Amino acid sequence: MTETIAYLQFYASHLFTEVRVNDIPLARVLPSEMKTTAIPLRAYLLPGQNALTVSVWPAAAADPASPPQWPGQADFHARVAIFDDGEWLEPTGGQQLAELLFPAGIAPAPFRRDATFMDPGGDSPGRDWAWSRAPVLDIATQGAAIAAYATYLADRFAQQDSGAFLDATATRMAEDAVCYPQVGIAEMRYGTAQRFAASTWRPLPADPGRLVLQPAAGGRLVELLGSDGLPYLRCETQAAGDPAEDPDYSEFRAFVGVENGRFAVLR
Amino acid sequence: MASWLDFLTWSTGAAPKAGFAPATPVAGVSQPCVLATRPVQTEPCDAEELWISSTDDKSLVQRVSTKLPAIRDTGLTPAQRALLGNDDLLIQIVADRLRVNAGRQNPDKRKVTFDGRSSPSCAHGLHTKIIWKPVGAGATGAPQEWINSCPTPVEVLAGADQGTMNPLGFLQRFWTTSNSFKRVWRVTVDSCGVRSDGKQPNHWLRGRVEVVPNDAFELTWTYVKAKEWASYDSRTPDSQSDSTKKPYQLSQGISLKRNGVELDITRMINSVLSTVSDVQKAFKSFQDNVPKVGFFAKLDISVMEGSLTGSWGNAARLKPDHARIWLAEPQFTITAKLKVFDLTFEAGFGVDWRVAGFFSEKPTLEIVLKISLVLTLEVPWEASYSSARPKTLRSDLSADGTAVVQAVGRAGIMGVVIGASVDVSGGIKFSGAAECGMDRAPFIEGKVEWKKITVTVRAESPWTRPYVNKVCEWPKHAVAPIWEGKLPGDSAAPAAIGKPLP
Repeated sequence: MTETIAYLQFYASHLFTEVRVNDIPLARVLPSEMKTTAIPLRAYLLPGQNALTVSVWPAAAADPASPPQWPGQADFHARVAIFDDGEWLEPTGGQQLAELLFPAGIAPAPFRRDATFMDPGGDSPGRDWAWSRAPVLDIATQGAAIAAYATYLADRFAQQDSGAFLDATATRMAEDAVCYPQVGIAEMRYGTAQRFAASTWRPLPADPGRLVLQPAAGGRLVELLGSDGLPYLRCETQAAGDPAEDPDYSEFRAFVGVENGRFAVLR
Repeated sequence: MASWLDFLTWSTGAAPKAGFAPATPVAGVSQPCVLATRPVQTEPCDAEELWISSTDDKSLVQRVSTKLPAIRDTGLTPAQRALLGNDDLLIQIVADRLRVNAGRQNPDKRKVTFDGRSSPSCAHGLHTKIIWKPVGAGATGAPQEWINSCPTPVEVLAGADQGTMNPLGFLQRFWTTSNSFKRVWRVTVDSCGVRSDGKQPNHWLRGRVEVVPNDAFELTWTYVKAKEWASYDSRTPDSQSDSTKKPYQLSQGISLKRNGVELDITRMINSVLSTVSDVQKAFKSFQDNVPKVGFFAKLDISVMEGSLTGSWGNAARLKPDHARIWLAEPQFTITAKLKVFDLTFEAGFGVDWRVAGFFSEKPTLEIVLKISLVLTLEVPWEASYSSARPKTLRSDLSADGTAVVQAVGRAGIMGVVIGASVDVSGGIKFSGAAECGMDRAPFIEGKVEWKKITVTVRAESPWTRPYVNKVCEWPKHAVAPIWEGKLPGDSAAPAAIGKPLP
């Protein structure tokens, strides 16, 4: 029997957009780019009802004096669908579970659209994730502690300490291995070590001043972001840079939560 | 022998010089002074009146007359003085065109009647003298003179096409409101210019006869569409396995009529097809420069699709503008509602990338992506131009085409996130302008250019380094515009354009 897998398909252009599944941001698109992406969802789905959310901000008008309006090509399309293994991820393919479209005639102001869908089940074992069991974090009272953990990760990142990251992501990796048994945990650990093995790696130094803590998963996770909106743990150049120009660029998206009383990178 | 009047006209530069030049001095031969050939006149003889008249085929009688040189007429406005120039009368007549192959159809010549008077009788018997003479650029034909006799009416025609290169496009050849079809004659009543009453003599009075064509044109441009061309390569990682090419097809509904008779405008249609061909070549160049695993390309293009309708021609005004001036009125009405360009270029190419597994034969990462890049450009032109509006009419046209990228990968149970992005500023753009005016048939001048297109694909999983690759970057260096020119253009060589109108 062919295995199935749920995907989030997301397309956006000429907008600031963020798409979340169960309140975990999975993709962001800037107004300067037109982006299409397909993200496997096994590790983000929960039993029962799940949520798909798209948040949109209008790009600043070229002429500040002109009334705000959506650019002519402003658009997004978010969709959750189940596909068979090996099936082409066509925009209208698979078995659709939820869909959100850019609404026509909406005023040019920030807005959010939500949809819910039921767990399709059967496409993977588990649905029991550490991030969904984690206690809700209060950034106001626990922000300093989270920042300290972020500083620790940034320091280890700069030191290319793959061991520290294998430790910090052990739970996530175990859950990924459940989701994607074809890969296997040994391969995952090897791949992670390889990521840290670059020779000319130029990580951004730890700087609490540029750290932004972004709540996710209903407050159970905190995303470590830089003040520029890019991952806090990353090399100097921009994400999606030209690998020919900078083959050692790397970034590390980290959603921090609490497991067994201590911080860990749970997603 | 050049007349005194001709000499003064030439020496002061007061009127067009064509048709007259002083005798060329011959080396070693003394030339008599022109002034010395004229007798010193003391007996009164002065130009008193000049009139010019013509009747059209609708029995409209145009007549202008004067007894006073315009330079001494204080009632003239600056605009009227500008129209008259150095003449005292101006009459514009609408007549058939001079035809090179006149055997096909007898042109309908218009009769012009004129006469003048000087008084009292010239003591030397030289006046009253009436001179009818072609002037202006390209003037041909000998002057005629009548001394102390009533001039016979003359027959006139407007000019034939000059057969020159038309940088403004094909329609310009038929834009009869422009000056290129105008023929000009000058009528002069000449005298000795002596009065006995002490008043300033007139010496001469002269009028200008301008003949413009009577052609009435009707243009109907309802639809031109050229599509579609596609090429499939069997290597594409898609089910497209046929290697096929569909030729362009042109459907048309273009009609240009002169006086109700259809004209052959094959060249205008060819110019549209030529534009299509130019654009196709540019996209093939793009196609050849995209790294790919397999390829699929499709270009849908329409050039000047829509309607461009209008009419133009000349007609005499029903009333004189002044006792000295009777103008014909160039008239045109053009309405454009069309897409100058409407093109969609779709390119499909593939990415096939895999990372070998370290612990097993299965790859750690396997990406098979179909990437579809769609470039669209639409340049609308909606405008109405009318001779009732005073200035050259111009509409700036610009359009930014968009690039849309879509990457479709295979679903996989290996947890890989795949995506593709393109800079929204990339694509194609059009810039140019549409113009129409008394001297300019409607035309569009512009160019279609590339805006740098960069397509980046990215694949990642939490446990691998991201795979990031610019799969398309075009143009990498400065390249020629996709298209640059005029529409409706004229793709024929200048020599061919020089052929006279039928």
